[in-house]
Amino acid sequence: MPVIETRDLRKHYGPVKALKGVSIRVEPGEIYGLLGQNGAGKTTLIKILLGIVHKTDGSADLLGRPAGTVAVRQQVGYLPEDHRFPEYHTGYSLMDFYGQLYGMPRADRRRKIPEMLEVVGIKARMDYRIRTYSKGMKQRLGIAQSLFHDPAVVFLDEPTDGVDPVGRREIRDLMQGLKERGKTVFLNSHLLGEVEQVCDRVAILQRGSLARQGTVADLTRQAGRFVIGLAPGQEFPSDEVARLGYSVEPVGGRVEVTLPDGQGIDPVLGLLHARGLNLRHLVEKKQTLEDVFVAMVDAADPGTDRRPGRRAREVGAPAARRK
Amino acid sequence: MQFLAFLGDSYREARSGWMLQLMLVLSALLVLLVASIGFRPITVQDQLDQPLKLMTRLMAANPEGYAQLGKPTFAVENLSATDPNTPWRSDYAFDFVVATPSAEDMRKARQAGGLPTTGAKVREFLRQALEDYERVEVEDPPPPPAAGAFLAAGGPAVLGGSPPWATAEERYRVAARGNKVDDPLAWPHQVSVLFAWDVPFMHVPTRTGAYYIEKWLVSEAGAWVALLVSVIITAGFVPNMLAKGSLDLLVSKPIGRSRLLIYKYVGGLTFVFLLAAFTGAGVWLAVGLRTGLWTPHFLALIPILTFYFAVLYSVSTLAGVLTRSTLFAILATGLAWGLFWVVGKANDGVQNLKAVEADMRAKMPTAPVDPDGPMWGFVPRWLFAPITAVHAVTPRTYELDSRLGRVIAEGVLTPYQLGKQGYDKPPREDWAEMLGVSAAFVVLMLGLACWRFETRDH
Repeated sequence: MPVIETRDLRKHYGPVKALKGVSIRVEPGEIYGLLGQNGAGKTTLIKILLGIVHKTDGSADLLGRPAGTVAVRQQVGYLPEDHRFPEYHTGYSLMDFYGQLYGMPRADRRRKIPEMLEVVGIKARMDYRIRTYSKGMKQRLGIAQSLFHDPAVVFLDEPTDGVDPVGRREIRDLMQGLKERGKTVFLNSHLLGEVEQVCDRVAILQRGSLARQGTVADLTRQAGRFVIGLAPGQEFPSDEVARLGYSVEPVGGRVEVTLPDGQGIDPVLGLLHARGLNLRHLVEKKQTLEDVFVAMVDAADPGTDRRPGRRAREVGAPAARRK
Repeated sequence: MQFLAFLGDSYREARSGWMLQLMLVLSALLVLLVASIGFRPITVQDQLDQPLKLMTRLMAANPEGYAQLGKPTFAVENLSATDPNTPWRSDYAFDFVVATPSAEDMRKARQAGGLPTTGAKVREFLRQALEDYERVEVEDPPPPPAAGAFLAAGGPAVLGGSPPWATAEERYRVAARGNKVDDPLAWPHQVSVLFAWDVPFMHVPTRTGAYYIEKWLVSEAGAWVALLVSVIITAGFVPNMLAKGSLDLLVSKPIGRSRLLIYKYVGGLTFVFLLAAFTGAGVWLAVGLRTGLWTPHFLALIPILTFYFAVLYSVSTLAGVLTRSTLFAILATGLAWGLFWVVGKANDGVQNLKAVEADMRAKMPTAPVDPDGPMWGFVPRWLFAPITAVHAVTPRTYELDSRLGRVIAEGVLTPYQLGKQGYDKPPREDWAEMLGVSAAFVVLMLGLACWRFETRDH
């Protein structure tokens, strides 16, 4: 049974179509990343799953039940983006308040709150008012409150926002730990390198529609491009390989071979073997998730980040006259 | 558990801005002030001397005018009581002495008018000053021996009331009988504040003093300030909860939206309840210790004030949900508060006018009642029906306020004193109607707020 499943999910804010039939499926124990430009519909999708926003059409299930119900939220943890904790609380009292909302017994709260705050590294400050916390500390507190009731699925919206590099690593480790314990993590982040490092599968939303979905390996693989290196002193037979229909480009001391449609790399390897050349390096070329994302965005129409009717002015070009 | 969590959260929120502490300190000061008010029984001589001294002091402040009045002074002398050990049950006899520097000045004083310098004016003055006695008998000063012939010829009636003779000192013999005061606490007392300072000319029965403290100082002035501050403090509760970044954290927790809003509402009410309980119980204790009046009626302040605030806070909650603005919530609540008062006051005026006119017609069928005369000189009669209709569906905060005054009065005043305060007739307001209409309004406001909160995307 999938932990999260949406089918043809739609959300309209008046004339604005924030989600245009999104269907995703997240399995238990996965770390699932959601990417997209600002305004692509990521937060709307999460908010529908949590019952914060009402869907217009389609279906959204969480843990096998309709998303957003009180019973489902009992098993969900959530760290919203741009969260604002009541600053009259201390870290401890806030966790205690939320713990009571989850129905956690007093003894459990007393035991678990310091433990959880130690995990995220702010136990020493747990009795201080939140108004004295730095942004990174608030973020760590946010992660703690999303996890300490031991939810089955956790939604993390920009969890490393404001956190230093060491803290980011700790948060990544935390997510891995959750995965190892069979928990499902739904991650929304603009830090694509981070998503690439921790996510099992990724979905890319583009202007309310699901543009791509798959494993990180699937998305980043560049089918048909190999980097080949030979033993020192040996020269790559570029002309002969080109006559086979492959294009060859030197890259440093190696070459990059692009396969023609429908062809594999084996004919090239056979030729090298026939010429008595010794293969020392053979890697199918990959791109980063960021490359994939940027390529998609560039290929699509201008995203919602760009304001309609206004275009960037080239350096030195005269400013447009106001009408 | 969730309810207690929200109560604790509301308490922290109220405490965070130091307003709760400030209000508690102000309440404590109010209780201390009440506790500092003391009552010391006075004699009839004290009771009369004070206004007479005041009158003399005021006249002497203008020496020229005082000379034209004949420079009169007034005094009570030779006081005797039939029962000195229980002065509130005693009858009294005393001399009321009017003195001027000369007989000629006495004539001037008589002619000035308005002063208790003639037999008729002395009677009028003493009957007002000794209004708690069934009978006040004033015997004119004995005439001088030379007046025998004049008296034989017809006396003062011949000259229209004032005798032709005058002396520099005139001594009226006064007897006050049949005290209407029921118990020692209804006997006039000198009021002192700050544990020591006697307030000049402040002579009231202890019961009346307790009524003034509980009604005017606490349930009117004190409660008004407390309600105003509470409206301001709690107006931010709902908008803060709905603020971007805060709401997502709460709504994603396993609690329904309506329940969340109601808990927040009850949290605000609890704040006011605690404040009212602290102040009400403190004042009740202080008044009881200082006066011996331990009737529980004043404690009705606690639930009534909380209910009063519940009406206002329901408006604040709805305004907060609709606009997410603390300022708008305060303004809307203030506007509604004023509107409820105006409607209540207008309806009270209409009912009073109708009752007076019906009474007049019953007693004097030919009495000239103007059927088109406006109320208070500016409210036309065609508005009476709309006022009554609007009042029927408006929360009864005005009536709650006036009914609380009656409850307090019934707790501390004797039947005779209740009559003097205008509480001798049965109340027009009905508890069930007052509470029912107001509670229905609260339910309507909260229902609308919950509906909006449930259906809105945040």
